[in-house]
Amino acid sequence: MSPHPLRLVALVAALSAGCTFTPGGGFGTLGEATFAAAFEPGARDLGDGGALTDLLYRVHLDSATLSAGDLVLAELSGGGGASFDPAAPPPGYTLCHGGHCHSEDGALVDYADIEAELAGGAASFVPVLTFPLSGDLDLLAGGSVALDPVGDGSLLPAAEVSKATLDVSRIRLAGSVSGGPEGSGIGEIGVPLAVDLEVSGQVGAGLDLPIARDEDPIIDLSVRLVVDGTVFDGIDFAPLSASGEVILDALEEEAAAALAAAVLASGLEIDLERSR
Amino acid sequence: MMIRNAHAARWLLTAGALALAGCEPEVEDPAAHACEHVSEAGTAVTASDVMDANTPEIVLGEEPHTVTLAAATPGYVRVEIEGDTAALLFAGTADVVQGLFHGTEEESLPEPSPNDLCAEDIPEHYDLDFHEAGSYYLELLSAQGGDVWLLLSSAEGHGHE
Repeated sequence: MSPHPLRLVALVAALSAGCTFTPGGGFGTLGEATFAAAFEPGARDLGDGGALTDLLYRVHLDSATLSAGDLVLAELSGGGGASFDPAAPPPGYTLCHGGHCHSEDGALVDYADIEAELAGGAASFVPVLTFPLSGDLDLLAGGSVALDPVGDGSLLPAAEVSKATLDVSRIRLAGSVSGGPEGSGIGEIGVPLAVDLEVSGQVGAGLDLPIARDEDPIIDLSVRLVVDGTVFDGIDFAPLSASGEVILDALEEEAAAALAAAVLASGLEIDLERSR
Repeated sequence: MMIRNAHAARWLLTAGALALAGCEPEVEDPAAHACEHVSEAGTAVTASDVMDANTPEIVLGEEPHTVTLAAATPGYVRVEIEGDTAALLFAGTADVVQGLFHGTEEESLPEPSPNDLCAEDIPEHYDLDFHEAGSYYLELLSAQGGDVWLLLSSAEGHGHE
């Protein structure tokens, strides 16, 4: 056999060997992944776990935990790839930038959720990476935990990850509340505060994480759930303290529902780094 | 002579058409402008504890303001609007802007988001639509008091990707 056909056979063999990865995987690799949850009052910080509300109540927390389920990174599947031009928002939305649009009621909605809405019932979010986070998240302890995915994080399938969600099933807070509006608050001597709410909700965030052959394959991920100091805004604690303490343990109560909604609106902060 | 004038005339007509065809000056994205000026204190203002004609004003424009707040006490600054105006309020501190009033009527504040061009420096910006002329008041609140950086600008040039 002449040299040229031999070189051709060798080339075909080499190309074939390079293409034998597992179908559906191998487009990306999960590197370091961490999760942290925290209560960060920010501009409402009174110090020592305390937060000032918009009604001038002073809420001090001795403990704050969320019961969490899975952290899921998902892509939108089905619906024919509905998308929109941020420069021309769909009806019901205005001014799109930074991955979100303003809805007519003033809320911010992620692009992924708008695309899902445009696709109607034909589209749904499909998990790409799932991290079990069973157990309680201590919002006052600080620190972070390593995330271990379900399945093999070293062989990620091709995907357009556009959403991250964390299931939350329970909110428990304990501390005290004092202050309030002059003349109608609780007063300087506070009353105990106890919150124990069974919820069925998610905190989430949009993100832009393409997993593809032409992207850097190694993905380092840092996820933070931050509950800020405005979480108690709008709650008038004085009428709730008639018994000498404030107990919020039923979502049917307006204050409890408002607090649960505020916690679930906290969102997730996600930092991504990619490398080869 | 006639031929030279004809060439010149065609050149002038072409140049004029190009000038009219959309060589408009680009409008700077106010988000970028805000990032460029976030380290400047701008005009110093002390917030008032009441909303009235004497409430210190922050001016819609290109200049920032540094507003001093008392601890754990709502403070107010005034904004004068001349007509239907789309504006952006950039804040150097999150969760300080509490409310917006038109006279004594509270207006709904939209949900803020970070300035994507410098999110750590400007963690919040609000897209505000002032539909009527008049005096508006921003309510500000900080547990510890101190200074907050604000810039209120026209929304022209913002938001398209």
